[in-house]
Amino acid sequence: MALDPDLQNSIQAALQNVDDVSKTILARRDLSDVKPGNDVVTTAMVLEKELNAVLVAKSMTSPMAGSIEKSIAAISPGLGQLHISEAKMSAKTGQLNTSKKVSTEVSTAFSVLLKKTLTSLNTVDALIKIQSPSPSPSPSPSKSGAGDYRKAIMVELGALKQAQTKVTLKPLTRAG
Amino acid sequence: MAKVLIIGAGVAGLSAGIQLKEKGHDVTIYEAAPILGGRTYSTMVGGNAFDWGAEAIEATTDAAAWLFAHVDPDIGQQPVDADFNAGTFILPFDENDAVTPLPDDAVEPTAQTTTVENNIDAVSNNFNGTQNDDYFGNVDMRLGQVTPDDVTFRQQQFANWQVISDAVEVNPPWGSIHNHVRSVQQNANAEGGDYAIDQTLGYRVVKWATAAGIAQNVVLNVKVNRIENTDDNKVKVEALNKDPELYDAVLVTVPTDRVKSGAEQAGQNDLVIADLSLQNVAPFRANPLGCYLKMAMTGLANVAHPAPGRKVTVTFETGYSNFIITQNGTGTQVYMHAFGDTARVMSANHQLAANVLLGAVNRLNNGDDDHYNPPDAVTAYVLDWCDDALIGGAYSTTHPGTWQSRQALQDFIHGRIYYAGEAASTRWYGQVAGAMETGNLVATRIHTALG
Repeated sequence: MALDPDLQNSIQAALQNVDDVSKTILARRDLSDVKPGNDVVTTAMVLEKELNAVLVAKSMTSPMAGSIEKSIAAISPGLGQLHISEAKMSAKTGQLNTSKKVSTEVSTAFSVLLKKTLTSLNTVDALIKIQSPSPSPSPSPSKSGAGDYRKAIMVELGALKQAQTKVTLKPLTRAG
Repeated sequence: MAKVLIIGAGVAGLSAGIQLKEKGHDVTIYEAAPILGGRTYSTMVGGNAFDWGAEAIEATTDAAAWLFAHVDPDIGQQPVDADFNAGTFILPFDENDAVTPLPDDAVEPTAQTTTVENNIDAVSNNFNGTQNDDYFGNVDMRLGQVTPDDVTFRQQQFANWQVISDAVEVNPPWGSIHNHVRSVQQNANAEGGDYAIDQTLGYRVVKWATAAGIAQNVVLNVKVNRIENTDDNKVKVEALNKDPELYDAVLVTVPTDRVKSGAEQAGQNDLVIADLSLQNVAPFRANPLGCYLKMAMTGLANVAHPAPGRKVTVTFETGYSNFIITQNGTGTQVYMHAFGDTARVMSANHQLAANVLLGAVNRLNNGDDDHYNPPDAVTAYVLDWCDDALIGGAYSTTHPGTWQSRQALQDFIHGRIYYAGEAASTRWYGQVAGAMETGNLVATRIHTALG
């Protein structure tokens, strides 16, 4: 089934927005200054909004609907965990900035969310490519292909997880 | 009495030297490095003794008895129990000490062509949680299971992980696995224990050589570049910054990769046997060096898992490409010991190795009831044998389908030039026991030939 050009445009735009939001989140390697009810929820809501924009597309192309819905569903637990962590943080106002445990929980929630986001984006991206009309007057393919998402997010995710500990490497040699 | 030069003061060279000297020969050992021991080497790291090279006696051999009996019998360490039960593991030799044939259902590993980059991705992804995310949960269940009957190798879980080399660590495939397990059992604290330096293998080799009277025959910092047989049944030896010398026989014990024929291109740390043909150097090329990397991380505090003496082992599809993580008694240091293809991957990226180690500590210490706050900074000491200028790798591997080439190395005689080393052992290759075994064997052959 050929994809409606307008739908494809909207999906591409949504994906780009999700990409931007993901990068915004990932840029926050130091989570110690996260404030309850503020940054975390805001970014989560933006992310949800953009993902919902993708979800809207399901009514336009029935073959994609199931897959996209499934992908969005996969993201939901991550969002839920994010909100739970945020709630925990709210309950611990005052200790927040000094509690590495809470910070780690949020970090973990981000990791889960981003992994699931990654999976979803790859799926949606792949579906778009599969169903794109050819030849088509529609815009050029996504600026962020599946490989780009995976690579960029994994690099950032790896940095996020190690950001708290600085490793100094000291190579040894037998010659002393 | 023959004038014999041994090239290399590792366990093979020292073993042969002891034998030949006891038989009355004039023995000289040239060692390119400033220390004895070859691929055994010990130092202190943050107050703890650490074996950076070989750290275990893996089999019931003379090596255990010699090293421990010669050196310090009062220390309490004993050779491996002769009644040791290998459990489900098949020993590669029978009750008469002969090498047994390959089991009917065993298949030699096949060559792979996956790149280093592919495997770095695989390791990175695994430890960043995108693949096999339950891995460390499984490790929790396996921690402390250090007896052969309990250990389960998990090649199948990593069935989609390809090896990056076209050589394999174990060939035939049942080769060293049981020995590795045995080393774990017999040396539960060989790495990471709160040891004194004199309890490390590297130190014991040096002390053994000294006590046996062979250390005084070793000349350090002498790099032999070229040897060849002469028409008058001598071997001409050319060493850096020394005049050429003639010997009745030369025993080469340098790693396989460092031995080159006159027809091959040689690096500055290679030993060229000038009159050796490409055909006769083939057994050396069939057993290239694998990688071996150890890392000791300091700056940690109160690491709860893994506990002292416990191990984390990953096994790739070759069946012998592992890393082991353990810690010292106070939980202030953790250690990683990577070998085989795992080490190849990590050798290409030491930061990745540090991240894997740190990630393992964090995960293992962050259960529901046990939260661990990682420190702001740690120091990771690394000894990567692939980066060692003189050796350039670890123990030998064998190209698939060529495991008989180890026998060819053991039988190697080129005029009056002989060879010994772990690579030449058909049963204890890659091990101190193999180095000692072949050193002793070839010493007997040299004595028989030269009287």
